[in-house]
Amino acid sequence: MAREKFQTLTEQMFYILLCLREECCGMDIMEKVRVITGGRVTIGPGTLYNLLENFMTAGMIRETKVEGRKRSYVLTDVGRQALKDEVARMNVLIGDFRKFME
Amino acid sequence: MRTKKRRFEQFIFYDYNGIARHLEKMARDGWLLSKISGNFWTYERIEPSDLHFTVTYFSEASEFNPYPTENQQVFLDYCEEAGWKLVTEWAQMQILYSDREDPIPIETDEAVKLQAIHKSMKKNFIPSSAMMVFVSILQMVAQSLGLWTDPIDWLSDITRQLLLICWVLIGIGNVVVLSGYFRWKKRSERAVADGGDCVTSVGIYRKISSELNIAALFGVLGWMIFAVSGGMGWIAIVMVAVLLLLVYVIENIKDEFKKQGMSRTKNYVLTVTMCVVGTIGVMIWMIHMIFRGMDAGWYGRQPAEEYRVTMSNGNVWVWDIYHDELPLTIEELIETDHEHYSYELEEKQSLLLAWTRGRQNAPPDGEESYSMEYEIVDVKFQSLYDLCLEELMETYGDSDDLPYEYRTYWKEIDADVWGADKAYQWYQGDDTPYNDFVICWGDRIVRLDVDWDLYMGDDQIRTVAEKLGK
Repeated sequence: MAREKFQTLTEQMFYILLCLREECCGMDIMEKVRVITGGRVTIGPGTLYNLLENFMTAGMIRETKVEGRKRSYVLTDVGRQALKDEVARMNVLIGDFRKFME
Repeated sequence: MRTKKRRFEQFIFYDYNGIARHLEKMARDGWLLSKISGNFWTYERIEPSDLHFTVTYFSEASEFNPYPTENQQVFLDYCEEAGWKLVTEWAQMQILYSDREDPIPIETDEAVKLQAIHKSMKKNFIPSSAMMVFVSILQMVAQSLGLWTDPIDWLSDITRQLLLICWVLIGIGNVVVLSGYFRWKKRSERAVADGGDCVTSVGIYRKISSELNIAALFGVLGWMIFAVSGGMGWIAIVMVAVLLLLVYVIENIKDEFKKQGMSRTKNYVLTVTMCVVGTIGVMIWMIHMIFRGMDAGWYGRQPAEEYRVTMSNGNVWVWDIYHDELPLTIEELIETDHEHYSYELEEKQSLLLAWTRGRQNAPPDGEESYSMEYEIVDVKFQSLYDLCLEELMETYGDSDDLPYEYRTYWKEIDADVWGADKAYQWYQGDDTPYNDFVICWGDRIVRLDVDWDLYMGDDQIRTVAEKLGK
């Protein structure tokens, strides 16, 4: 079910996972994504909370520490693989584009 | 200048966009929402401001979870980081506002938003609405049972009809909001799959639901007015008021438990216990008051006088004497000089049926007296006529082994002498008629039961026809 759900990642999913390549506090993710993407992608707090919960359920991230209300997460191997799969999928798209359009 | 106001708001639980736009307008008018208690929303005065409101749903929030839960606090921290402040919550619904000019929306992924909304709806809105539909159906059956067991009483009793109508409206209202939700979900799923946003309008469902609620409210008001005007009806109103007060008190205690951080299980057990104990307590108190009131004569009509009869064994009988004006009296049929007759008239009327019962009798004081009772039923819809006639001619079935000469039945008799369309008389065996008649004049049916000793000749029959006929 979870694999099916995350077979392709939305931009927001992709950048949240990318931020979590190293341990990161949930609250900081919104700002990090904004910086990485130069403001092109914004993540709302509700979407961030729900996606982190979904990623946890799917085993793509894990909680590393809880300091008061601050919770930190990091990517698991499943999450890392999901990111790689998404990049591979995009590379196929780019390859096809180059093959037929250039 | 008042700083607080309460408004009766009728929003469907999933109408997040409608609620947000309404709160933005209220803020522009200088009112900020501070608390929601069902349909009663409390606002506090603020400087008129252009605030942005958003309504989101947090599935873990509930009526019993401590407020806020750890996860809810984390969620609210994320919101605060993005510039959103919590206004209030209503079950899973979280209402937030931002004074930033262009705040980041709380939900930026429509598929995730739709999933979160449905998760929350499954927790509270869907089961509670489905439960209300179920309760409404049970109530509809319970309220309409009387139509089959005692149709004349039911059809002439507007309070019972209004109660049935109220439950029908409540049932339909809940079906409307439930089906509206599933339609909204389906449309939103299609829109999101096509890369669009969730549907923001709940369409006509809010209007229909709101009108049904108002109609049900008027139904309840009508029921209260009619109930108060008839006999012991006000007891039901006191009971509803006491139960509403109980709900209000328990609701506030439960909210206090939430704020104190009591665990969900403890809060749930305590709240349910309070409900059960409170309801049983109210029931016991009401039953006590009903019996006490009956002894003290608080309810219903009081007789004009009481007549005391001392029996040969020394016992004293108290006989209620009424002095109502009857359409037909024994004195109009036969000479009688008894001084303590009671003349009692009862009347009920609805849009479907009018029912009148006249009763004249005398205390058993050894003086010669007669008794007479009649019911007059005016049927306002022809389709109800047979049902009423059947009830008035109801028989209680003689056992199969009863010899024929003792069997009783209705026999059709000559209606002309009554000036009626049809007339029936109660008979035993072949040749023993009783002074018990059912006479049909147009849409009026009369059942007349007069004393065995009261002779019913042509003159008496003509008088009955003139006084009770149509």
